[in-house]
Amino acid sequence: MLEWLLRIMSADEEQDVAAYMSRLATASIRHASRLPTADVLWVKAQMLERWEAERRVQAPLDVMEPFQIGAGLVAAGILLFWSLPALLRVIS
Amino acid sequence: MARLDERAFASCYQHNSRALWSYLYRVTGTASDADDLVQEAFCRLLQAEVGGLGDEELRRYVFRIGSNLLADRWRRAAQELSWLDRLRGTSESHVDPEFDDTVSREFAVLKPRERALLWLAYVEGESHEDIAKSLGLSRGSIKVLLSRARGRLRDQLVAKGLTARA
Repeated sequence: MLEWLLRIMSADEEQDVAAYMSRLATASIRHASRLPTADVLWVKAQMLERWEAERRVQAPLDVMEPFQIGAGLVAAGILLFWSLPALLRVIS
Repeated sequence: MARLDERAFASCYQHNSRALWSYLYRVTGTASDADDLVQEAFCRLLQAEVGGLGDEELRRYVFRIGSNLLADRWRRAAQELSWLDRLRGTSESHVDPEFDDTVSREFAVLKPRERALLWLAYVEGESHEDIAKSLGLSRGSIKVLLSRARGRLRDQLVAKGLTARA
């Protein structure tokens, strides 16, 4: 009996919700969508893909940039240390 | 399988963009969010190898991308909120949607995930399996979540006197 009652209630709920959802789906929306045309979106997608490809190519270079700067600074330090006695001789 | 060519993309966009926008607008409650998500979904569609799919399969595919984008947003928002909650010691998880019509007031009371579940099930007619894939949920949980969402919506309808069967 309880199972039968639950099934009836569930069927009612299903019907009510289905009716409401179909009303909601067809209800007009006052907010206008600002979607671009298919052509514009096609171009946008192509550009995004190209930028993504460029970013992928550029990524290893970006990663290595701090190492390049660091290596340059270390080389400059070594050069300065190595030539310091000669520089001091020239100055004195 | 190849990617969509320009003509196939234009046709797919023309047939599905408005329906996808309505779904995303009803779930997010914000027109500008729906605009962004639709554009992102179709941009992602262009990167996918879906050239051989039929119209109905393409529609489901683009709805799935849109739903995945929604799920990503919820995850990010939940993470940000949990950090904010820890900082503030408060919980401000509910944002009122900006629905402007009388029909959707009862719908706006539901959580975004419940709105997505109901829309995909009743408007798009998707199977439990498709809904689970779209929203990143387990197939077994869909029946329970859908039943809970349906119950909450019906409670709203009964409370507003919009259904005779109480």
